[in-house]
Amino acid sequence: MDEWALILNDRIIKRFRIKEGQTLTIGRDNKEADVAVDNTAISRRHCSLELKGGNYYLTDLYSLNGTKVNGKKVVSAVPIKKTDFIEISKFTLQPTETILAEQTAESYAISSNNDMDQTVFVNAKPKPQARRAGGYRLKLISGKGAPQQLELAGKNSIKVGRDQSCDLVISGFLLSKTQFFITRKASYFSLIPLGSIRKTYLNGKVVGKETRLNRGDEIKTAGVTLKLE
Amino acid sequence: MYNFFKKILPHPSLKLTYAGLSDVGLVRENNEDCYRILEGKNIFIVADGMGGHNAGEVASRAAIEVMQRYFSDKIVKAMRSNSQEVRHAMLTAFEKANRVVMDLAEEDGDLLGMGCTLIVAFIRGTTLYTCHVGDTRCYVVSENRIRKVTRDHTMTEEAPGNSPSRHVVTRVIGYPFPEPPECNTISLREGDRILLCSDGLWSMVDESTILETIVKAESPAKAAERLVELANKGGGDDNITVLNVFCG
Repeated sequence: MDEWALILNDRIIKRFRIKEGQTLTIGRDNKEADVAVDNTAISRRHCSLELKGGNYYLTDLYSLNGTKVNGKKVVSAVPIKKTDFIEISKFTLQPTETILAEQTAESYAISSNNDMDQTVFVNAKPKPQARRAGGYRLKLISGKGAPQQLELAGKNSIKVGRDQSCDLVISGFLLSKTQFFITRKASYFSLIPLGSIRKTYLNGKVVGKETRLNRGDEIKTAGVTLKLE
Repeated sequence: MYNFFKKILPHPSLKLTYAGLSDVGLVRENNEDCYRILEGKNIFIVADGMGGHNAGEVASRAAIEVMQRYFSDKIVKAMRSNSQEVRHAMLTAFEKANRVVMDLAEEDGDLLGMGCTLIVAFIRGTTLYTCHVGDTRCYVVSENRIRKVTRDHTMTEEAPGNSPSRHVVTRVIGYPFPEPPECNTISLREGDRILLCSDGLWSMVDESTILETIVKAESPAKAAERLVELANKGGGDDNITVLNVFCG
């Protein structure tokens, strides 16, 4: 059994599974099509996908906007491979496994069942800045602390201070339990110092309020220096 | 120095009463919604699961379990000290819940593609903090007016014009977040009433009716019952979860 997905503009609009011996009709009509896609570019009964003896066959059901395999219009039933580039009107049809392999943790989405009214998830294309922000790490340059290096990928808020609950535990004279936070904004990180006896310095200047961080910035407090890389 | 006095002086706090209710609705077979009230910690959680078979249920329950375990006495104590700690704790809790749900989905093929929307509300003194992903909402009713505190993470709100349906959510537990969860801070006054709800309520009942029901209700439990009733009357297309908190 394989799972396929219909994709439009890099988003998965529909996911469906096909079993050996099954023929699924893809179309707009809720009743006539097994896989219903609510889009006017799709004919009521657009095409059908069959799995027989481990091979896939695609048939166009006289749709208005056509079905293409590797750029060629499908007329009668054609055998297809999972690696083929299949176009159903403006949608593309792809096995989900290849999408997941291609996009891993970046941008995939799902829609389940035939029910358009159900809550579904579509992950918008990651913004280029957001992707760049993923590669950041915080490195301990001098002073006592652990870990020596902290990956910021997937983290939205980082707590730095003396307390064991901190993501980066640093030690120094009169440091606060929580010395400062680094939090992720839409496309960058920002430094939020807390009121502490020991001041927090960013590139040599005292930080009193939330400040935007850039790659290469050095944060210093009580003999501990951290660098954002 | 100001911070020091603020710390040692008793924080003004509101007397809270709360109640939650979750209903399967009239159309669905099982309830994929889930809510949890962490007594004594002033933390309120609502999740709305999605994904085929029973996977939505698994996702919402797993997410809530993780949250409950994460918000330990120690974490909550830190959260009471300042708003940055609250924000940090909430974001970390979301990351943990997301991690767990993603791992579960990866291990079990039947659960692939599951996820849930999630909202956490925390009340510290007279301030309400919310953090959420997806389209579960938080409303605050204050002096006969209703205010939607949260922004839905749906195609309709984030990329209007390109949406096949309003139920398509863009940020959800169970998938890597394209953007951090949204945090909101609201100051409360005595008499304010807070409502956390899944889309099963707000898609069936309009805001003015919600407002009227909440204002009229004598207790959070009564309000929850009445709201679920109204949602079912309006069609009950989806699971309905309502969590009410009355201040003072």
